[in-house]
Amino acid sequence: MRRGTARLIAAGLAVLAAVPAGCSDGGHDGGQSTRVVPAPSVVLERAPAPTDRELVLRIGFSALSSGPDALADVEVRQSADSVGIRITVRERVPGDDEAVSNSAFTATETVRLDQPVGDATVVDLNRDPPAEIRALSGG
Amino acid sequence: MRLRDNTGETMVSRTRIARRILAGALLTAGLVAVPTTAGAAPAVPAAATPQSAATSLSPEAAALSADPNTALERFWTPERIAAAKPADRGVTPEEVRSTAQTSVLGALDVPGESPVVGGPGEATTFAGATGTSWPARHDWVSLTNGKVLFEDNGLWHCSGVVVSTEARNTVFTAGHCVHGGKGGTWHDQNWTFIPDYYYGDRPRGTWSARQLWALNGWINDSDNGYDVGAAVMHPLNGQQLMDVTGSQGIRLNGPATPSVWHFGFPLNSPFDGEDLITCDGATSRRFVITGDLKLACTMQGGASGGAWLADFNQSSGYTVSVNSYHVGDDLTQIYGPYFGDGAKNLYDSVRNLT
Repeated sequence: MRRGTARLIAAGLAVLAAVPAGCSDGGHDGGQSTRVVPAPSVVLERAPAPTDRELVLRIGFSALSSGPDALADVEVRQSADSVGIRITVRERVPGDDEAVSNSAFTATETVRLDQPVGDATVVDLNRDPPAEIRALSGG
Repeated sequence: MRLRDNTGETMVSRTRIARRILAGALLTAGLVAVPTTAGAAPAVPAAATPQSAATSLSPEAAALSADPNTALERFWTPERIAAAKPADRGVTPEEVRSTAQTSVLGALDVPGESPVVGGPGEATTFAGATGTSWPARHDWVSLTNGKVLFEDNGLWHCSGVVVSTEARNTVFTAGHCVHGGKGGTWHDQNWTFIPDYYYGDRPRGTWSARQLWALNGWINDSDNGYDVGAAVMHPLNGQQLMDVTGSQGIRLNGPATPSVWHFGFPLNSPFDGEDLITCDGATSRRFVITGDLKLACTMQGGASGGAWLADFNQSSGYTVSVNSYHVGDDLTQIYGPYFGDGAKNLYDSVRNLT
């Protein structure tokens, strides 16, 4: 009986190994097609001084982005009260069943402003409503 | 599943085969105990065997200091962190079909240890599936769940957790945060763990790894079911990592679908990778009763390797998985390997490495 139990378990494991788990068709491994999407994240490398005419941004990318063309566009809208930043990135379109690792990378981008920052708040226009972009403490 | 009934082979009924599949799946999922029979060795696959590699400093980092911790503290400037690249491992459909680790080596529960300095967590509400910022700093949770950085043909981000070991120097993370998987190499340069990280602040120092560990199932086949790794850390200022941070517990070959709290440093919107984020909820299995653990949670890019803690009491819990991947464009679910025999072999290999 114990031998039979062992055989039963072994057979179950063998069948499991041969059958795609969950009867998934595996989807596809993602095509070579790309898309342009809002940047996953952005922070300020440092808090700007009122006289600064540039912002140093740390832009986050998903594991679906790669290469020198990953950054699609950085749009800047400056007013007396705010500096709005809208960043878009290119990424590969994943397959429907593709496991995409939850890793990420970041890259630095410096943007020039027409006017000094002054007292304006720097906000992410990809968020609705626009949200303040935080700065690193440097620590 | 195909049943062929036109051969001369012994016929097996669909019901019987279904029972066998169910038995195997339950075993794989850790839902049934394996009968212990004399002379019948437990079937632990070779994929559950760990390997290791020594770490090194890149020439740039080595030039900054002879001490590895000091070298990496100086090396990981905000500019270098900003230049980090993705740890995309190009998963194939075959890899997606992988099932869970076996569960025959017996259960093991090791509790966490409170940090010497740092109070208990202060969370009083459930985080739910939408990741939220952990409300405390310098506490047990923040000290033990840290940011991981390393260099391998680019500068990369992950998350990790300090787990209880006799050696008091162990960080668990995802396998793909220590090794590139099938066809890849060890991520053995400038591998760094930063506890209590917050917007560039590193109040408990920058810790360097001296040795990395991953499982054959990940190294040879990029099998998601074995996507767990470990780092053995150098001491810093004469102290082991766990002396400073305390630790989280670890549970191996435990329940098949535990409820968990997950911690990590995701960069996907609305997160920015600079703050410790948490989700909590019940897990299930990706393929109903087998496959990787599945959690409704929005923490993705950058949270790889972040702990999934069962029996979490707002301060500590038992690490039962780590964040591994999501599927396609589904931004609501994440997956992690069940900590079965592979994770147990890994833990047993590193727990005494002083």
